[in-house]
Amino acid sequence: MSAIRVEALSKSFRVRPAPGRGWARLRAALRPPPAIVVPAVRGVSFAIAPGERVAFIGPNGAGKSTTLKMLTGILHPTGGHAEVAGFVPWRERRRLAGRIGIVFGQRSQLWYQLPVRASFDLLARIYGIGRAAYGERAARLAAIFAIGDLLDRPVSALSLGQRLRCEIAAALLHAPSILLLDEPTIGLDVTAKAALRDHLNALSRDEGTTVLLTSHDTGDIERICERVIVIDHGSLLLDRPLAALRDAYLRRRMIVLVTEEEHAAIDLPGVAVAAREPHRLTLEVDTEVTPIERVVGAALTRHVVRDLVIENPPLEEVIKAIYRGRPEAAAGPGHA
Amino acid sequence: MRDADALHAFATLGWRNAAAQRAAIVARGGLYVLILVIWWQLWQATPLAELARSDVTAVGLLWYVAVTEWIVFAAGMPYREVEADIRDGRIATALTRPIPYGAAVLAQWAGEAAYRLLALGAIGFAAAFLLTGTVPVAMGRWPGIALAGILGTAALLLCQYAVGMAAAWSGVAAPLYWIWQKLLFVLGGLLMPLTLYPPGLRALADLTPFAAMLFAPASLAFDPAAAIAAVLAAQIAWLAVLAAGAALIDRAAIVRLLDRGG
Repeated sequence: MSAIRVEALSKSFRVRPAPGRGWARLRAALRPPPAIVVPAVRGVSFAIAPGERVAFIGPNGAGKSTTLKMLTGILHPTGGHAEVAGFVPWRERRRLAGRIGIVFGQRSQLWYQLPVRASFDLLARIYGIGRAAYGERAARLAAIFAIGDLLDRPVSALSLGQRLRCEIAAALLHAPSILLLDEPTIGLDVTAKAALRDHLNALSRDEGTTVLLTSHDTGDIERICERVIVIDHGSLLLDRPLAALRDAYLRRRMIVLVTEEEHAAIDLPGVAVAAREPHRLTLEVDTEVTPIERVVGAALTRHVVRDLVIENPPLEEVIKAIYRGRPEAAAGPGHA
Repeated sequence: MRDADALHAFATLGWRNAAAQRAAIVARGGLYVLILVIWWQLWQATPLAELARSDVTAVGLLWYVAVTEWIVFAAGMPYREVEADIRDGRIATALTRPIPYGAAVLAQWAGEAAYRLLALGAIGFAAAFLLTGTVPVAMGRWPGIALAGILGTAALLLCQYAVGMAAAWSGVAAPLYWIWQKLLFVLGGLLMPLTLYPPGLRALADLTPFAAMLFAPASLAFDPAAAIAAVLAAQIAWLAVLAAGAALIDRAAIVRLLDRGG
């Protein structure tokens, strides 16, 4: 059974065109222009297995948040079907709430004027968590997210990073089997991001929590997720494991060779020198012209290799290529 | 059981919030007392004997206003919180929780109002006693007056919840609130008992729930002959109607928000 199953999910909004100024505005007030139907999500389908960690990405306005809202039950679809933890979200919203944790990076679920601990206490009673279970869970989450010293401070007095750590801990208090994260690391510094990603990975590993996250930060995707679903203009563009995504969308790889010889050279079609230093050669390989193993084989045959590193170009490049809809675009100039 | 515990937690939160806002209580209490002082001066300068109503005295009228203003000040204007939740999209977060949004909001307001009823009651009734030097009705009637005040406040909160949820359609609830408030003040008898209104206006007021919110509880302090049981029964009946109306508006507003996105 899937943790999340989505079939042909669609959502359209009826929007009235903005009135002009002066008389046009008055005319529009007296006789509103007909509404326009704007599709936000168009027949999206996917399934996520329990314990999977999936990135749901797309450019701004692609339909990510709309889909996420439908999966939490706070937005009714125009068409299609979805089940989250066995519940149809928009029909069983309150029952589903006990099974999922939600973090909207831009919106707080904590009470601003209250200390964090009081917010947690309130959430524990909202979710009906027993006193003993709550105490144990809160202590564990406080340790995982390093928020023990923040618990007695009002939410309004926390920095963004501190608040986000508390938000995620709050979303996990009732031990949800599915965690939906909308831009969870937005505004965090590098250290806080890394810690948060580690915590989410540990949580998924230890408790089998299914994670579905939207993020514009490719670091979140690379370090947390094993699968990527890409949506654009409301339609599913791609749904693949992260590794397969790289292979499919990146024909360019970088090889760094550290050699005994001061000046090394590899002369193969599709292989260009990206940088040359004494004892160090960086090659840019078009893997469609020459497979990576041929280049490595040639390097090992011709030179005494002290070290060899194969680097993937940043995920950023992959995503840019997907959005552009041209896989070869990721190869960069001169390789297309 | 879980919902009851959660609602109790929200009510406690409301009580604590109200208790923490000492400056707000002082400001409300100060304004409340000022209004009583002004009305006391006004009623004393008014030739009430010319009304040819032996039951109308400055003392009775002052205590009447003390009760109506007590309810209005205790309720406050919490509709603005619902309006802001809808306008800022915060309601989306609340809707992802396993308890009904309206129940949680009303429980919190009930906690806040309970604290203010106690605090402002102490301030206002002490001021009314100091001004008039007397209490116009027997002490045995005060538990009934307190209960009627609580029911009147509950009715005000239900109306304000419905007014706040109107923001789901219009984006703002303030214009509707001001209309509702003026109707409350006039048809509820904020400043003067409905028994002093012209017969036509009195009949109209009796057809609305506003009379049950302010006039009914205050009449118990103004008119020693008013039947407490009858007043409470009428209030409970109106509360049931208002609760049903608020539930319908809540349902329609939530359906609209779930269709359009919070």
